[in-house]
Amino acid sequence: MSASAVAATQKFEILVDSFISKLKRRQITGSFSVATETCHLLMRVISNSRWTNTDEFIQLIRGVGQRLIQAQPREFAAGNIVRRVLAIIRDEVNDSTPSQIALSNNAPLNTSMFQLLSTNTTTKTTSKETTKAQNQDLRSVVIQGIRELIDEIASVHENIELMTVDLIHDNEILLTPTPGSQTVLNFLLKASLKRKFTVLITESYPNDIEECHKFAKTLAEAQIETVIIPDSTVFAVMSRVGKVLIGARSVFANGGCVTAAGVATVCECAKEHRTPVFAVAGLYKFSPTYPFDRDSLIEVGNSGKVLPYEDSDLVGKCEVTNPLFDYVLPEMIDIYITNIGGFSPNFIYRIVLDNYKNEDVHLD
Amino acid sequence: MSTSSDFNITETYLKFLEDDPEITMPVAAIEALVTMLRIKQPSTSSELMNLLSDATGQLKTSIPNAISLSAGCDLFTRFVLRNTHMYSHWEQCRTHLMENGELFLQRAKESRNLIAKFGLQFIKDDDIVLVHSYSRVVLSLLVHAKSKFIRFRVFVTEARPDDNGNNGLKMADALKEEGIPVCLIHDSQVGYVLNKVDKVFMGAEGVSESGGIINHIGSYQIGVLAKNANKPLYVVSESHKFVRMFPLAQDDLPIPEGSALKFTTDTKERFNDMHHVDFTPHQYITALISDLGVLTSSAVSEELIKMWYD
Amino acid sequence: MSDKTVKIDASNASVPVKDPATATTTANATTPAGETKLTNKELKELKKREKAAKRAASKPANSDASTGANSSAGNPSKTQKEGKQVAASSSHIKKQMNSAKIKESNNKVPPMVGHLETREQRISSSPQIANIVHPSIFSLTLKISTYKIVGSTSRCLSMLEAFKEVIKSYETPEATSLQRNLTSHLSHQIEYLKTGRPLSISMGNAIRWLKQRISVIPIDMKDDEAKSQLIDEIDLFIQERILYSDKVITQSASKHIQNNSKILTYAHSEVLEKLFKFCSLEENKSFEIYIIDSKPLFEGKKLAKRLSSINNIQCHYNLINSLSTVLERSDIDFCFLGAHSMLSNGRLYSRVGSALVAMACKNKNIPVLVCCESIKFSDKVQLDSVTLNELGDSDDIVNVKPFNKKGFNLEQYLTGLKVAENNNKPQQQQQQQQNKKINDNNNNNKSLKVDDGDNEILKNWKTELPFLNILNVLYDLTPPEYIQKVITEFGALPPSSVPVILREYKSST
Repeated sequence: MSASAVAATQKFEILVDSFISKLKRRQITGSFSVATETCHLLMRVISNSRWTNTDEFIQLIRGVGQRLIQAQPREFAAGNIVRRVLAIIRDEVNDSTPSQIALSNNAPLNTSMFQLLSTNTTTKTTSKETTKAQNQDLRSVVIQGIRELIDEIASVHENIELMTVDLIHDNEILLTPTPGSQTVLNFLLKASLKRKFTVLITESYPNDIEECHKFAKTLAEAQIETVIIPDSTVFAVMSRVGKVLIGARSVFANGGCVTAAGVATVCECAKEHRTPVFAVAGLYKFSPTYPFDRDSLIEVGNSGKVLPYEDSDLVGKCEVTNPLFDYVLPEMIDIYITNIGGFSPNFIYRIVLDNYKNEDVHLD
Repeated sequence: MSTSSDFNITETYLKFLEDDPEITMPVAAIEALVTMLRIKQPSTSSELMNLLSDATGQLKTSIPNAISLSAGCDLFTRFVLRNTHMYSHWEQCRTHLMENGELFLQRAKESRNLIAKFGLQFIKDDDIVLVHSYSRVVLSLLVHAKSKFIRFRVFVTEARPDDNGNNGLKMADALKEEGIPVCLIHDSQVGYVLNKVDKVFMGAEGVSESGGIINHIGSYQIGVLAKNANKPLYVVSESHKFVRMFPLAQDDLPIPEGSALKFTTDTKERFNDMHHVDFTPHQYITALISDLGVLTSSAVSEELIKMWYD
Repeated sequence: MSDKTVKIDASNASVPVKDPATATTTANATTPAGETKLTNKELKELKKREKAAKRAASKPANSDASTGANSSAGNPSKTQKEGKQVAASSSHIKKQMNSAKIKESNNKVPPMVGHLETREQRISSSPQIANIVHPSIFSLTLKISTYKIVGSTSRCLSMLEAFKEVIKSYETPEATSLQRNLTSHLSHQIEYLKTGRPLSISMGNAIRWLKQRISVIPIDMKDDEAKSQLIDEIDLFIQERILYSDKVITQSASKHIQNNSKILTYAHSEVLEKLFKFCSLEENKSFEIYIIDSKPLFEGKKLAKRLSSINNIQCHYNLINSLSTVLERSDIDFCFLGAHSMLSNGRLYSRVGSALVAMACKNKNIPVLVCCESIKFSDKVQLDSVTLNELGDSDDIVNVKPFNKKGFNLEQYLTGLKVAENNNKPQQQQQQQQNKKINDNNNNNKSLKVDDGDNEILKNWKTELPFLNILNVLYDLTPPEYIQKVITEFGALPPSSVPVILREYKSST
């Protein structure tokens, strides 16, 4: 290996390692910033890495993805972005070698049901060695793709906001149990330009209480009627609420989502009252995985927030947990508002299939 | 028509089912159709199409409870139709079909393994699972889970009435042989045991376009009970059982001949037990575990739409 | 003769507009729709009584001075200890009345609950009767309004104890009889008590019972005799209707708690605490208990503190946010809820959040059991939690940290102090408005704010953010379909049978 190659590998390692430690230390949190940062990391990784053929390239990115997911398994945005980039690469590779997939391309609506009877066997042919020039091309195309991805992430809010008018009517009472969500805030602010409505905000005590106050303050300053309610009051007011608006942290292929703690109960309550629930989420929050193990999705936070140390006589005698997230079942949500339109939770699998490649669902 | 006397599609179909207990009805139907093609050697595509439609028609009418089988016939017919359009030489396609009968069987079995792999994540240690009637694919899923050292217990319903032996018993015995602890219950006991159950698994004879399933009688009531108790109901089914039907209620299912429910004052008449399938609408089903992955009900209709409209 | 003078007095007096209104509400509040189920004869009797009460109530309001002098003359000698407080409180009351009007301008309530009475309104609408209020009622009102005494049962108990004091120190004024005057005297006490927090259903029921007992005292009984009889009756009532009831409920509910059971409960309930203690200490069962709690009162902490020292009980403490996780992860066997009241249409009126807990448990097939003494049964019917409720103070919600509630007077005093200080330093005040984050001021504020949490974001929300409201209701209604069983001292019943108990209870008293 040449000296430059060693240097490149080292640089690559440094990049990835520093990002991973940032993730682990939670210096980067929140799906939005994680997604953007992951894009930037991948861009740097791609421009600094060396490979001889596309398989190697894909393996390399997969490796990075795997490490990112291991570093912070509940920050799904990182894994999603890696998968998106992999899809870009694979699309690019397939386009440049059209002969391989000519057969399947013939059928525009090819159903996988025909797999049973189909002619071509599913085993993939290994990619051929590619020339340096081709590699360079691929590199620049992929980096361009990532740039577009970054643009997409940056403009998520604008696209979601386009739908506000269709979803809120005048004098409606909305309830949002996720005051930590920037997407929800932007959505409401945008909506207030066209509609007059009241927003009820749950406190999300203890984890998001300060966000809640900031959120309420921002809305109130924008002259939106805002009411802060304690988390326990949700049932009492639900009969007056027109729509429930939640921000999702991560959306899964089955249409379920992970969001702030307490939201699952709020959505359940909304269902009991037949109040529609809509979730807002950027496309980068959609994960192709299936939430099999509910426990593994939920992060547990500082229990000192639940039982402060002033209550020292209880500390140690009582078991206290402070889950940060909740998993919301698909049937609790009526629609997802994304930057590419609104979808029923039933249909999320399709959105996911469109944006990720099946072979990248599991990176390990 | 040139359907000469010596070949009987129904018999061939039944023979396939008999020879290999592992084979499902749609696959047997496909195999029977392939055999027919091999024997008849149609020379033009229109002859082929005629042959196929005759044979499928004959199969569907001669076999009671033809839902599952018609899924196979439809799949095969559509495939042939699609490919005669697509391949410039239908010859090539025909040869492929005729020569690969074994391959289809193999793939059908593989898809069962694939389902077992997908479904594995649904079963956890210490689960109690309720299973209705006998289903090969559910069995293979449970056996696979057992082989991965997951410890779980199973309630098996007796699944009465049925015409070919006791399905529930068969399922229970098969599970016991694999070392899975089983509790066999009467169908009327389901409500009684349901609070102990963590999840319900059932197979399907056919998966309708809405995502609802047609399955051994009693499935519907278990689905309703499970929904009421908030227990997840997972349907385990191969994708070749997706069938282009959209029943709205039980009455929309084909009624086997001479078995309309009738009321009588005759004390000698006992059960009116000719009905062996019922329909479970999709809202009772939590998810569909198939060889295409874990699907929602709308994914089923998408697959069917893709197959039928071009 | 004395009878007549009262009547004349009442009818001739030029009554201020406010007073009859409050008097009627008293009568209504203390004797609500209940009479409909009585026989005609009883009904007439009751109406008569009610009229008398009304008249009696309107009378002393005019002639405050005389009655007030009467009762307060009796007071200090008997309750030396609280004497100081009387002086302090009565002087504060005036301040309170004045300041309340000022405060009303920046009193903000979400439009949805505009019909509910805020604390400020309660205080400002209370009649000027400070001088005839008994010191024990003063202290009780303060304790109740600062949530030092919280929970329907303990509020009811301490009210009855306070009434005993009131009756002890009561002396019938000239020209009237105990049966008539004591009722009205009590009504004033109750009126004042209501300025702390609205009466609970159990308190209302107890008051109705007490008034009825007073009205049946024979006219020729001596005052001392009558008073001691009443006090004995109150004691018996406490024993029978609360303590003994709790025991019966505890015994009947304890069969649901087995060894290794996992029990979920919400906030704090007197009878449930007794139940858990009974099961662990007397029946020696060991079990796990999951306490769900919520802002702002954190009553669950109280329960946790009392239970966590017991060896047999494994205590878990969670906030309502983690409810779904708790239900998902732990295999809960039963959910026990306490009650503020059971309404006639089978709905449970209880601490806000109970409905959420009951709903989530129901959806997980966990049976929800409610333990409720029959004294808490009400013949009201309600459909939603917004119509009937009690408003708490919105500032309790703003504070990030668990709050330590101060009395209204202290608060007024502190703000007064702050205003005064700011007036002294007008420059600094200006600065403060320009830039709140100047350290100097911060320190000042902190020294004034005792234990007030450290919320900087919404510190001045009342003045600065006209579009922001904060909703703090104290109760919610749980629909009967979430409740599997209501355990009372009369036995266990489904929520739909609440009216049956109501009828039973009516006939038994």
